Amino acid sequence: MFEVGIAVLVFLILLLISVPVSFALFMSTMVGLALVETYPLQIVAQQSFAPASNFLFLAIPFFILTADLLSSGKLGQTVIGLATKLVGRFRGGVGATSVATSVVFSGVSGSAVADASGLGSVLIPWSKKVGYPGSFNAAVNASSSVIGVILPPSIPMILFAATSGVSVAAIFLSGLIPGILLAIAYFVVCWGVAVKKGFPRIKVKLTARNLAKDLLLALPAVLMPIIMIRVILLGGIATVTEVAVLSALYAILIRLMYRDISFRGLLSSLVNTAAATGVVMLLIMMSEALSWFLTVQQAPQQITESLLANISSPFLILLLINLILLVVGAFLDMSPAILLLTPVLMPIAEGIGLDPIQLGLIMILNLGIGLFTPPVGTTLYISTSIAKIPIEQTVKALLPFYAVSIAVLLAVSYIPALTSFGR
Amino acid sequence: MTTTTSLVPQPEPDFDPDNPQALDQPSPLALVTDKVNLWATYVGGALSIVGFIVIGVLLVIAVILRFVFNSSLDFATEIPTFAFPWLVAGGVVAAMGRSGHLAVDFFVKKTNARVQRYIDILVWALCTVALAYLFYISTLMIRPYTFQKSPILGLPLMLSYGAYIYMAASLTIQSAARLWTAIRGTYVHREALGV
Repeated sequence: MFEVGIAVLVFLILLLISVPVSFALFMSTMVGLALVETYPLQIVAQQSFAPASNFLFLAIPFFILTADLLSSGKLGQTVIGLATKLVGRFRGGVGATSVATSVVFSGVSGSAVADASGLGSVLIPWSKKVGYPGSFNAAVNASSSVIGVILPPSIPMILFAATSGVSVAAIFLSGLIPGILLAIAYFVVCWGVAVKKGFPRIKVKLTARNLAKDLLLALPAVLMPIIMIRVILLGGIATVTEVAVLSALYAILIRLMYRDISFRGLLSSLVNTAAATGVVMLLIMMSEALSWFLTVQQAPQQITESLLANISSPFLILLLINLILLVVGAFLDMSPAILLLTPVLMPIAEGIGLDPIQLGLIMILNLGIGLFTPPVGTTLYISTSIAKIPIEQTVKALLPFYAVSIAVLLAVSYIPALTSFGR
Repeated sequence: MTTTTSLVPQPEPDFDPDNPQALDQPSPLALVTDKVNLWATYVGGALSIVGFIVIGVLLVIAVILRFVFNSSLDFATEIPTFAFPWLVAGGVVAAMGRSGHLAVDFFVKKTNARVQRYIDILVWALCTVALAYLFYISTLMIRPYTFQKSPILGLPLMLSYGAYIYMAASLTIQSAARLWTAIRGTYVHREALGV
């Protein structure tokens, strides 16, 4: 464990001085292996190359491409317009529009960061124009974009499935109820804050013909998650990777149908997607090497034995797991956190009789909250920079969103039925 | 429930729900620091586009054959696993060129500009050495991957592992370029790069 401790320490120091996380993972693995002196160092190259040959991970770039294509075109604008017409008229409706749009886009994107930047760049400036404070708009955008990783499809869920060995379909389905609960909780917060602070209602012209036209135009986005769940999850007739590729093809066809994509625009989307995939995949590859090192050093087993020997109550162990994940999530991005902590937490979950799928949802919810929690919150920073306000103001506006998110998290942690949908 | 005094003004809404417009996003090349990283981004981007096309076309053909004709092409499932490492390597290189790899700069940003520059030099010096070592150890695996063959087509796995070596080599060069930029203390901005 001494070598593991040194490797973790090196990793933390490198993070503090802003070494890119994936390079810090590689360096700390090399330090650990050099201290152990048992294994040839080229094993790091072998271990880190393995995920690039994993057929399951082929789904990641195609889901990212689908999100990029659908959220940036006319379809994205139509969905935002439709959500505005449906819920914008209510008290707090501007915030509710953001939540509703995130729910719809969660069905095509699977990435909280994509949702935060794509939807935020449209909704935050508009919300400010209609008289909502920037801090509130940033807070709604930062928190609601996390719904994107809880409702299927979800890239973090694919990572968890690949690391833990659970079925992708099962974990996708298990996210449905927690995702809907979270959306309802955010709707309630938007309404409550708007009532308390007297935010204005907005007037939106809504006619049956107008609504029908918008519904028809938004149908491709609304239908996509339904088709996907029907085809891959309930039908079991295509793999996740095949569905990801077909989704991307579907997105290209939709953009062609709406006549709002050029050849140059498509190439630009492909390069942007490849760069986003490169970031995630390098994290996966380097985390794989460090995870392998932790496993051969038997770190997960030793941590589990020590924890179970000292704390007998499963209730308290689950609480401790949540606390650790919340702290880690505040400092580390979702992908490396899932890849590093899943091998450590799986034996603990097994020890206290926690279902691996439920553990997956607990991890994704915790780390999702971390995305809008300082000091290192990706959606928090994206939303705050779009709103052009100090980060402290956004954090203050986020307080009720933290409260309801943690309430949903505790419910998911202690009520297994919430994550057993479809099983 | 009582409503407190309105904290915000009540302007007339000027948002058109039929045509919501997004803010202009900064160019992805805005964070490129030097010409080496710019060219690496172009090469990585081109590789990843080829990877996308190969994988996308073959997997779509495979799905169509299976569902429509109830048959399959063996190479349509194996070639994508060969192309994927190249897509990933191109993406990793392009992301490095655009300063896209995730880092925790919260604490460093709390320091003054002089300290930040020293930390920048230290970070890229460490990264250059580490990545050069990654390149070295990646070459040690060439022999085993040359002799390992794929199960269906019998192709040497070196064809896909080559992407890893390219990635490690390019990252080393890009990191060295970042180090040189940090030492000089002058970033080459978009206008100078002509992008």
